[in-house]
Amino acid sequence: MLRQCLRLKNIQFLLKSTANRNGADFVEHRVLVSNVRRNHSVVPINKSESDVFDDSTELIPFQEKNNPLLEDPNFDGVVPIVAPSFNLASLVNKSELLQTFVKLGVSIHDWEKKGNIHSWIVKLDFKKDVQPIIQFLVDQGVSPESLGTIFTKSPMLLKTSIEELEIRTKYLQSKKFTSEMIVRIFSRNPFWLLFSTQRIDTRLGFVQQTFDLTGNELRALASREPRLITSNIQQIKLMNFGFKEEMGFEHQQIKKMLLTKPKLWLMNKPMLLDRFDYLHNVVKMDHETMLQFPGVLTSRSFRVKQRHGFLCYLNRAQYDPKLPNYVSPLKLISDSDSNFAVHVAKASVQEFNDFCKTV
Amino acid sequence: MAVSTSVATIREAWFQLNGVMCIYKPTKISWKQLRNTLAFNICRDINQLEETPPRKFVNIESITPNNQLDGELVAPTSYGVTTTTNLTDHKLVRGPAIQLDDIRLFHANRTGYHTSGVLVVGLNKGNRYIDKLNLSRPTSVYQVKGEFGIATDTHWDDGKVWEKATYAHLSKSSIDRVMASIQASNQKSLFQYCGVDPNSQTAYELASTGLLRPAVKGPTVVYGIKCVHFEPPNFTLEIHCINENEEYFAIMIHDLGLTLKTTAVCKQIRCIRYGCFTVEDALLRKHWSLKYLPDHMSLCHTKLKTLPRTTPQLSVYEQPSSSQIEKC
Repeated sequence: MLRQCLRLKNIQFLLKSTANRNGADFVEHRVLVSNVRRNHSVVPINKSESDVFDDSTELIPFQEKNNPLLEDPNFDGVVPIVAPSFNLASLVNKSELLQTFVKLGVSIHDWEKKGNIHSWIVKLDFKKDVQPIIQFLVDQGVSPESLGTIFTKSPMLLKTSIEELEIRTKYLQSKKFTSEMIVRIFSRNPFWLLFSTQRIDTRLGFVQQTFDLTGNELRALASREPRLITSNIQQIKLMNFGFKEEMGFEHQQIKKMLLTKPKLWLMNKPMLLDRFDYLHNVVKMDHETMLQFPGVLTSRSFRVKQRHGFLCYLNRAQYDPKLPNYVSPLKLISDSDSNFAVHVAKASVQEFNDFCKTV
Repeated sequence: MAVSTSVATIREAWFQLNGVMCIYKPTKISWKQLRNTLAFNICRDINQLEETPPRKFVNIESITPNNQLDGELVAPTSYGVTTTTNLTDHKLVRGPAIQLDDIRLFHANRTGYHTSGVLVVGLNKGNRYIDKLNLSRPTSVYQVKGEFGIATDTHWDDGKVWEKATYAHLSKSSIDRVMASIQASNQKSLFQYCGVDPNSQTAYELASTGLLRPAVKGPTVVYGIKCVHFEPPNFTLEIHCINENEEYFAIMIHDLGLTLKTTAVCKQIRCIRYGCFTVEDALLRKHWSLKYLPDHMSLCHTKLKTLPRTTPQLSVYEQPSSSQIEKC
């Protein structure tokens, strides 16, 4: 491909140069050029593909021998427009589009992990393709600081047409989402804009039906954790099974949990089960307490294990609020280890560290 | 040997980030996970330091006269040279300065998934000290907790229970008797690995030089084993050994139960010493950051430097070849 481009370019340059000069030395070149041009215009129509290929390949050594780029000093510094590159960083000094993205705060290196984005992103025109989308997002109320993260997370947004984006926003408005909610959804989860209205509608309907949510609750949930709506539906079903059958929560409890801590539905299920198992069977925490402090299910399991183990070692693991020396589950998960050791466990930091080195 | 507190730039920090660390490995975490956590923490902290200033980008543009005809090639009258910052070096374009793959971490002692305790890790150029340390064949000390009365498929307490047995007949002296026999048989086999007769003069000379260390990674050798805590059904063994692994301990606890006419499972394996590194030096998970690691690495370095030079005394362990067996 590159070779062919080069060849065509040679021909054009050659034509220009031969037009300017009348010297006898260039007669041969002109003959060559006229031959080439005739071949190019005639061959693809009359001959089959293999013949075209043969004819072109025959031309290559001849072209290379008479390459004006090598022979004529006037062509010094003539190079192909775009050299092959394996990342976008090599193009950033030349491309104004990429420079604008950097100014917006888009991390271009993150695009490299996302597959075949280089191939089309450089070809975009800022005025025609990018500016309307930025304008659209700013019109919705998205702050200019979050534009960088939005484009970093979903570069495919630049491929979506502005009409579709407007339809998707109007759908949300028709479902009585306030403008703050819409802004939050777009800046928290830019993937939302890539989903068609039908898909979003089925997903919202699925979540509303499974958890028996009212309209207001659904809107609050969708704006609080927009990633839940665009996540895998099968995963939500699996998590529901985990909460209901494996952990033993009631339907109403699950609903309450979803509204207070929707992040749990995006977590790794075996990990969550492991935490629940420890809290329920070792710490002896009941479901109601967990609903009251849902943070215990999101905190790192080693933290709870270390702290509960230390309290047991000191005979201070007392989680009943009606008895003296009550330790709140919130204190078990929050604050730094030194504060926990001194204020909650009433011991020294050194003792806590020494205990951690025995488990 | 390690990053001093005055270091402010990533570049300076990176060239000083070599050394040996002694990590307290938590249980139920594999070496791969631990490696990733450590490397991630180091990357996260080092990338918050000051970046090196970007390189200069020199752009040379030819200035051609404006009244140029279309398609006409005219030699440029002059060249304009502009110098800008090279955007290729921008953090958003080239990514974080230090990435996970840049950090080379390797472990000195092999600790399994269930094992917790001391784990000696080399960072970047510190890996060469790891090799030296391992060549001196350091012994490791383990505390292994077990429980009498049940047997499981994995020989661990979280496995599927196969069998239950009584343990009322056990006493401290009966355990000590088995421990002594294990220790004696291992010490006897040490001379066999060496290829000398235990009753010969060579064996005497070898034994008088000190602790016998096999020169290659061969079978596990237990130098000393004793029961440090006995409160049926729970017990704790302290084992000094070399070339050990997790499965060996689990099977040993299982066999111990069978020898004592009951059953036993393993509850915890904790490495409390590897060579000169003890559990007091080890860094807990909350301290695996650039705030604590540099000081810790310099401490470990001084420890390694003051170590007396020890080499394995035993010759290479050779298994008798088939021809030799036939001759016998």
